[in-house]
Amino acid sequence: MFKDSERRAYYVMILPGLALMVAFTFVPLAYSVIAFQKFNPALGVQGSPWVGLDNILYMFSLRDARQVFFNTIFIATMKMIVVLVAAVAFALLLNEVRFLRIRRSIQTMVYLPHFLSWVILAGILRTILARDGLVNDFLAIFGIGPIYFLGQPNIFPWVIIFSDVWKEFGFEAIVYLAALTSIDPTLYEVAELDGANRVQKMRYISIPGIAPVIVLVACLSIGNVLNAGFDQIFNLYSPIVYSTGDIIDTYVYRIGLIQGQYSLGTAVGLFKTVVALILIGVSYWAAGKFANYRIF
Amino acid sequence: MVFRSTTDRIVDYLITTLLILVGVTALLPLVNTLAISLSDKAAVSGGMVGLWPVGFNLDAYGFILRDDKFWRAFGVSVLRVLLGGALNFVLTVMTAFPLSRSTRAFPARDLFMWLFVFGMILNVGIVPWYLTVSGYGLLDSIWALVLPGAVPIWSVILLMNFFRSIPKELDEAARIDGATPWQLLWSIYLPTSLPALATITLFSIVGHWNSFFDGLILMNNPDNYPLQTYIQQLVIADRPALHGGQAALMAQISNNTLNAAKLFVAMIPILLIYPLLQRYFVRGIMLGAVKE
Amino acid sequence: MMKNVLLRLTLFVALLLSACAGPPQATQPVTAPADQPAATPVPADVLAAQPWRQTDAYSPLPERASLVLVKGGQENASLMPEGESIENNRALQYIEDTLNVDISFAWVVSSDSFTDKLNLSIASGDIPDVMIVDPIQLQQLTEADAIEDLTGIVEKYANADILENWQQTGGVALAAATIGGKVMGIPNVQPQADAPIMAWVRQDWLDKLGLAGPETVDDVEAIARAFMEQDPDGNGAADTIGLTGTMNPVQVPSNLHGFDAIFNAYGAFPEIFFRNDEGQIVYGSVQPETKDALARLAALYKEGVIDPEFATKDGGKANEIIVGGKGGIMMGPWWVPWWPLADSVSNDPNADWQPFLIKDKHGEHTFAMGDYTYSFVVVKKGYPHPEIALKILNVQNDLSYGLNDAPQYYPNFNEIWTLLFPIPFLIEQPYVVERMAREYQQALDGKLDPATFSEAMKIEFDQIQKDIAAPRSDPSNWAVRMARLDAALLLAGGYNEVRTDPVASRVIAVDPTWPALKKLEEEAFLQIITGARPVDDFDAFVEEWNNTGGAALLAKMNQG
Repeated sequence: MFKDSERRAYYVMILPGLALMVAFTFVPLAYSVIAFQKFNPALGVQGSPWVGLDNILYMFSLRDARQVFFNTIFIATMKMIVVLVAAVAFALLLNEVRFLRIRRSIQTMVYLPHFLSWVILAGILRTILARDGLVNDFLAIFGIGPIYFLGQPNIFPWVIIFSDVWKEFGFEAIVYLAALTSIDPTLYEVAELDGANRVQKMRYISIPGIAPVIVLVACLSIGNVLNAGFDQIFNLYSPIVYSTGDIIDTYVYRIGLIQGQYSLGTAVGLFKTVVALILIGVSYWAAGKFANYRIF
Repeated sequence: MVFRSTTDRIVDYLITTLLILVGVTALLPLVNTLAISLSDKAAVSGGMVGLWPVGFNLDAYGFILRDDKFWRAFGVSVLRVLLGGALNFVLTVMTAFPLSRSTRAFPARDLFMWLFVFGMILNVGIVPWYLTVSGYGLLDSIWALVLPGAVPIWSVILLMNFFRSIPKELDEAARIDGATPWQLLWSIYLPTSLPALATITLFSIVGHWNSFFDGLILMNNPDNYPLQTYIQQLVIADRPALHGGQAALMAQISNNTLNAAKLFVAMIPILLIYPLLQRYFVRGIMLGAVKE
Repeated sequence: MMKNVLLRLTLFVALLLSACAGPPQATQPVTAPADQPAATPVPADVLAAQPWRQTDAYSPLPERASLVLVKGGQENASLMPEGESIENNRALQYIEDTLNVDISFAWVVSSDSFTDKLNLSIASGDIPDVMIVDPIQLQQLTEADAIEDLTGIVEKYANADILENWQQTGGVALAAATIGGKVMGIPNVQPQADAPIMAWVRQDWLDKLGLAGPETVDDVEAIARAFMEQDPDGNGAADTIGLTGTMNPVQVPSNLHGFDAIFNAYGAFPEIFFRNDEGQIVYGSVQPETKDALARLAALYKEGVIDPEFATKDGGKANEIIVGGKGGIMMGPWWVPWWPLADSVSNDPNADWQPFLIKDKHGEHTFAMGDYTYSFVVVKKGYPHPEIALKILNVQNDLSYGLNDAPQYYPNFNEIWTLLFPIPFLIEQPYVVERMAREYQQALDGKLDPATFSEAMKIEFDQIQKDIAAPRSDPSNWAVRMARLDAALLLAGGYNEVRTDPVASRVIAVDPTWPALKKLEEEAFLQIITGARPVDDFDAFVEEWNNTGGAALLAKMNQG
């Protein structure tokens, strides 16, 4: 029934994609051996001297490296928590809106930032967060500020976190909205007959109804705690906020490509890759265990 | 009963009002940018522009219309979207189809599946990646922008899941009639997968349109920058666009208005396809995230 | 990254001036319009027959060879004359014909991206045949065995002027280019005038408010406050910024909007390694005087005298304040009239910017001075004619000085020379700026015949005279007068130098901890000035600096 010719056809189909993936994902992985060299572009991978674990050890001794790891995890974790809370709250409230057209309009408004690039959004943020920008003008009404949003190390990470919320909360709410619509409406009807009020319905029906999705999203997020958002931070940061805003990816770019410490940059990147692989493994395992999710 | 529903209605209105406020707030920064792009220089530098243009004029847009570099970058982005989108489409389909087959039909399927998933989650870091791409001699070529991401594995998985959800009966019948896998794909799977195909195509259009970083490091010649890279260099890296010889122009428009206008023009393609995006992205999210 | 931007700008302007700094020479016939004198080129065949053309410094390659280069400055390409471009212009043509070489560019980018792009090229292993690099890159490329050993070539092929200019640095220039006994690059020589930072203040505003120009940091503060509070532009709004700044509060040399002069006034010399009274090399950024200066800057920032958003601005953004008429004081080197002040004058012809030097507590002018040499021209390993780099520099030198019958095709040569030349790099006399200022003054006083000036100096002298006759009627004329004459004369009046020790850059170039130390310092300074950290955190910074490699670095320097 399954002919060889059929199998051959599948191999032929998959070959181009496989070749490209090998060329642009696995070949770079092979290049990562320069983390164990004193890599010199002129000498190439073959000619550069091997230094064992020197770069890795040096990385651990660097205050900067420890700091960017901390910043990355802090920013990424806070983003996940705040985006998740905002998205769930938004979905629950939107679910209460009875007028379908208003519902759709609100969705249209909040999804839009998701589709814009961080280059565009950073350009906008730089304008509205300036001293004479929209946000400070607004705060001035309450006698607050002006706040130096992009130039204060203690505020900058929160600018990153909340601007990410702005971009993503609406879009992330989609999965919760879908889960809410799939809740059996008779549950609400029964509850109403029992005299449950709005808050009680939310508490005892809606939230338990979407809890599995929340767990799933939370599990899958574990794999992302080392991705704090290169595009976003790269386009908003400056030296004064390096102490709290510099993340692994921006750091690797600066030291590894621009300052020419190729091996050190690769070592930091490789370390991140290894940790990320473990975390993603954990996240898929957790998603499978707690949310019964399989990626394929 | 009556009393409760009155309270209920008030709460309804409160919630609705709150959410409309949230929605409007999400758009305010964009409105502000548009207002700045339409305002005159003095009002902008005085920080007087809020949500409505002050000293309305279209000078900044007029300047963009005559700005060769902007349109050249715009053209690179369009080319990139077309070429990259087509490449993504073909490769996603050709990769997803064999992976959607059973291991009986395609024994190596599981092995390949694991390879692709591993490839998706493996992110080796910028330095070896750059050395690889430059090692292939792709620098300064449009191929550098489309080949490295030519197989969007997330889309592959999405489409594969969709293919698997298609009833097998049609498939069986055609196979008995002696259809080859290519014919199956072409005459059965693709026609029934149009929504999923629209979704993955939109994914790659938005992805290609929005990326700036590969353009920044892989294009040496600024003439080859895609639009987002061009804007990034101008707006974020603060390259003054106007100086010296353009003093007459500086009298009317400032960098701020011009940059705001450029940001806005770069948004337009996304705004144009936004209705489609909203529909199909939502579908993609559903397919990907809450499967089953 | 921003550092490099400003450094490049410095280089640009530094070279810009050297371009017109030729020694007086015999007058040549002038045929161009009266206000735009330009020399007639000597016919090529006549030129080729000159005996000196047969010398090592100028001998054409036996066979036409190709040379691949890279270039910044693309953002200024619109300044090129009609029909000419960076890739194709008469100066480039002259160089190609004289030396029998075909020059092409692998890429041309904006000045700001240049350093990043070059670093990426080095990473990809695909470097141009000849390029300009900094000391760290010189070291890396040498270790990589990626560049030609130029020992012997440098002295054999450099012409007499270039050799003389190296001499004037007391041998520092060539020593900086020497690694392991080999000359690996061709060193530049930086005009020393670029280092001192002066206060540029709008005299029209001072007059309006009845104030005198600043002499001390206190005066600068008082003037900044007056400008902020007393509405000098008369627009009825308190919208004037006091003192501008950028994310580089200190940068030696030539810091646009830099606070260097304020540090120097406190006897602090951050960012340079210099010998103290005991003869030990110390680092200025970790000295107690630096803490005092930071405390003052933090106070100024807290009170709003310094631009509240300076820490996230680069030069371009800070310039917008000045050009837009929102600020009346900026710190900068002598050349700022060309950029950005000329734009301010063209926006507002009343903007009468004047330079002032700031005194320290002893009532003296003392400034931190950088290295004579900070960049190098190197030749890719395996390029068959490494000497071509020097020959090109010789001819470029002639073209800009008007020496050796080199033609002067361009009336606006000073503005575009970095675009015209394949290697925008010159080897300068260290004190050329001051010397020219004195000569212009002597000519104005009638003590020197302007007819003895080089063509380039004649053009400038003419511009100076025009601006004296009708001040600020033409921003370019005004800029030449203000930079070349007024500001340069202030420097010619003399000042004390605290000089970078030449050992420092060589030790730094091989030290892996330097980038991390630099980052530590940048963060500490910005955060202390903006109040994100208390001033007393300076001591913690010093301790950390010493512990994370700074102390070891100093020990190495003091051994060497």
